[in-house]
Amino acid sequence: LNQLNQRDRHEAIAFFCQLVRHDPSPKVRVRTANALGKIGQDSENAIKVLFEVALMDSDDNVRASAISAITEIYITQPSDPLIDTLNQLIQILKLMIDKPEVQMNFNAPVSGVAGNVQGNMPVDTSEQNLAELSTEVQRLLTQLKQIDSIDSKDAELAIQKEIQLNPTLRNRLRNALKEGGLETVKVLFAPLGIAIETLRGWIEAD
Amino acid sequence: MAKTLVIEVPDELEQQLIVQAEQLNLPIESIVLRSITESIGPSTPSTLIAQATYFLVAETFTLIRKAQSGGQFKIEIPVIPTTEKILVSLKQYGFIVDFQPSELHPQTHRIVYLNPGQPHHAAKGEDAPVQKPMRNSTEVQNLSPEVAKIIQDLQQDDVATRLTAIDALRDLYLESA
Repeated sequence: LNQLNQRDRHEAIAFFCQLVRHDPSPKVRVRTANALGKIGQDSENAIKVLFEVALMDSDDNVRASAISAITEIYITQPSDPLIDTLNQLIQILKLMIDKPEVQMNFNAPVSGVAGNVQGNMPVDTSEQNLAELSTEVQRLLTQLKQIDSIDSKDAELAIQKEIQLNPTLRNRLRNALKEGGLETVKVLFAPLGIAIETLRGWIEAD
Repeated sequence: MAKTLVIEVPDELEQQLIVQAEQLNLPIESIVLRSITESIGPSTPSTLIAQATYFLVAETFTLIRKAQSGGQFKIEIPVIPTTEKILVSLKQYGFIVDFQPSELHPQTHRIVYLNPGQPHHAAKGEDAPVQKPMRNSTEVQNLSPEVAKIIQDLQQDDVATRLTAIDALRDLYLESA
């Protein structure tokens, strides 16, 4: 087994930090950002440099790779309570409903706790139709239900609370129901076993 | 189109597969195929959470970047626990001035105050000439020979050489972790 000494390790991170900021080749900057996502989690300098690149690099792919690396570093930190994970997925729903103008391209590898998601996954919500958004949200909510330790009653209560506390979300859902989006809303919440009448009750409760 | 693969499995694993196949009343091949699909497929629960998190981290950086380039001094963004941690670090490193709960949605959104002195675009690529980082022989003499060689490769003009060297140094770092 190869063993790097402390100086080797320090130099590796330091050189990568310079490469990702200054190398003239976007390919090299992309590859370096991905590498820092794997080895830079304990380096404040690496994280700081990735932030800078994610915000300021002129190349879309380099910024996307830096964001992927940052995600990888932060997602491996101690996990949040399960209810926060639920809220996280609700945020996805809200983003999709509240901000149809959001445009995001997933061109960089996304590394997660159980593997990698890699490939070209354009997500342009200004062009995606509602059915596609529904499918995506449904997948996320279905996934939530598959997590053994999340109790479905907790999930139901959390969604009810979210609707109560978030008038924007409530109005969006109310409008969706009024404007013929009944099937869409049904599809979104069916995976959690939430009946449409229950949901309608939460939406209309003031 | 389907491919046929022939694999060898240890006896102990075979016994486990037999037991599981009997419990689920499925052929062993189906159990193996399902296991492979779950481990590398795009729809496994954990990868979906990673994908969702990436989406929201990307949203955070995109909104901040666009607001800075548009000359805004504050912006409202949705937060999840992971992006809230990132906001803390962004503030700590001076990329943003501060953030606080939104008045309208205090639980789910933050008002982020941007740093007016923060450049919103780095001089890279087509914008300005840039130079690869360099190390002289004195600087690499205290490194192990293998790392010193990789550092030399990282300074070569050939992009493919630099890409290979990045992978090599990353792997070496991970192996020694």
